[in-house]
Amino acid sequence: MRVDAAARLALGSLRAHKLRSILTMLGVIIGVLSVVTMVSIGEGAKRQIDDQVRALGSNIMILSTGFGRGPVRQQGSGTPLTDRDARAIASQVSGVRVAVPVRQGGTQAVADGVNWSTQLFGTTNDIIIARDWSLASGRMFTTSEERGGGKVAVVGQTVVKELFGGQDPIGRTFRANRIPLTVIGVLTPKGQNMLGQDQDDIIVVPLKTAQSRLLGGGNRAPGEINQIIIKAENDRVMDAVQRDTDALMRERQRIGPDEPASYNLRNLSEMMQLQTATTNVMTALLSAIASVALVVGGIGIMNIMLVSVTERTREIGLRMAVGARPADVLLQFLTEAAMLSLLGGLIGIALAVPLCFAIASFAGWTVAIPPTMIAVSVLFSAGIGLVFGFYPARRASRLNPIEALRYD
Amino acid sequence: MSQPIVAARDLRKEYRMGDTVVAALDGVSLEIARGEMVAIMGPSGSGKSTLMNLIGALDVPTSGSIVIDGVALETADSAALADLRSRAIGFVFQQFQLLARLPALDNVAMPLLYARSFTGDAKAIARDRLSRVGLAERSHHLPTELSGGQQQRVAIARALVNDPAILLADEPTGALDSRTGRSIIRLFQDLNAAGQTVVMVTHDEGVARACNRIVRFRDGRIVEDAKNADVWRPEIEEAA
Repeated sequence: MRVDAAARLALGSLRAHKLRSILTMLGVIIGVLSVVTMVSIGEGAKRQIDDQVRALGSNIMILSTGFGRGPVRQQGSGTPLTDRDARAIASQVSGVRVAVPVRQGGTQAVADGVNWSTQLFGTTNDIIIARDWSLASGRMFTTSEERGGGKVAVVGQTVVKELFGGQDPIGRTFRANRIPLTVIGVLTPKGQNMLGQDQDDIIVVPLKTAQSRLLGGGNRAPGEINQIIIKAENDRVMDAVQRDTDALMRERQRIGPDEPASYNLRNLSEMMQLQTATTNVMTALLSAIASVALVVGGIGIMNIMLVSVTERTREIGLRMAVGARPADVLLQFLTEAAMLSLLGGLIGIALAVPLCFAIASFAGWTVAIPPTMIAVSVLFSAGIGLVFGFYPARRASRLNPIEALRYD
Repeated sequence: MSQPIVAARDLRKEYRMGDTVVAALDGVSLEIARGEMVAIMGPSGSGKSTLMNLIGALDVPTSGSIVIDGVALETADSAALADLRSRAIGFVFQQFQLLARLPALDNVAMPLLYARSFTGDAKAIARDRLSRVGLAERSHHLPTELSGGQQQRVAIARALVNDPAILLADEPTGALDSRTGRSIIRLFQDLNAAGQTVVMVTHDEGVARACNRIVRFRDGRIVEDAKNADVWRPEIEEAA
């Protein structure tokens, strides 16, 4: 018997017991539905992390002031970092593409009576390279602006929206901490980062402007900065750059190799990888739980196929009497089981897609349905039918036609 | 007519019933030639059903040899037996054995699904067989929409669909009233007149007298094997 003939037979007998077929499929439907949904949520989370890695810039390490060695162990109380450290790293550590000093702080911006509280970044033009930023319009700082602490600013999209009502801000002036700044550039939108912070809510000024005019004061060391963003040339040199930077900083701050460092050097990609790995484990765990439903669905199919074989003993006997080989009977019942679970799988996927969209919109999670996942679950559900349908089908194929014909 | 279509020599078929071994067939030798219409008679337990299962290639003998249309059963495996049934045997059962959810035409065409060498139009052949049993216009009816006689005709059409060397009927009139039964007997006689070899297992003396040879069984042995000189041709009143 050909497979297409077997498929027609199987479809016919599934149609003859519609309710039973649908109830039997339900197990597989629920199984596939939950596996696809779980994997899609996991995949969505992974993509979100991916996007955030890209938003932070790739191959990035952040060197920031760490815990001091005084009686009060407080972040930022360590030896202050300066822009000289940044220059030293850029020039002495090989494999570093840029090392960007950042002086960071909160600020109150005012334009035409509108107030907006935002983050101020004092840095150099290299920040564009380090964070993989780009300009939507305008320009970055000129050399004289950088050296002379020019009163110019590059702003993010949120600032444009909140401070300038979404109008083109280039050439316009606003005040930040009472210092007037002229907008010379606008950054392209970046969205939220991993912690839910709006990365477009930012004002970027030349480092010197921030140090001397906007965020100065207090007992700060000359040239003090909060952090240095280090971008390696590629991901293969990341470890070497991290090691060499650490060695250089220990030397500069006179810390012995076994002493605790007074600064933090964090490899962001590593943190991301860790988080991705965590997500992977969670996804795998949830999918494993969900696939229990698939197995239960398979057992349901086996159960119904056994009932069906018993019910149709005479039919099997008749088919054998008119020339069906055992292999033909096996094929017929196996096809029927596979079709049950395949249809269940397809229905499960058809339901999973709207469910994923619903989860995405109600829970606000990123949900991504990988196409390979759909292919795999279709194959897997057909496979469930074959595995759990095999025993009943073999039982059918081993019936003795004489006894089967007499069965009632 | 040189080669017999059934050639059995010293057939034995034993069944184990608990601790005892029962010989359902105890040394049976029999030949059936092409074109014969043979009745196999005997009380229940005489071994006639066992012989029918062997002639129908549903079973293999314990010892002895039986060759059906050139195939020796004692050396055939289950797939080879299935192929032999598919090619050479047409079964007609007492209880019709139609598939309830299929219309008559699909019931008739069903055996061709398993005919390995068949490549033609199964529905067309099924339609032809249905018209040969006088049910051309009933081809789309379900078995439940047909009378008993009509159902048995559908079953006969199904048995004919593979042009079998042997049309094998087990009490074909057993579930029918006598008038319908007579029309079914006439159908078998007409098919036999057209050259179809027919073997009928029955304990109905009337059905046996409609055949041109009667083989009588008792306790697993043939007790009589004789030509029937006086073939009964039942009157047909109305079509069943």
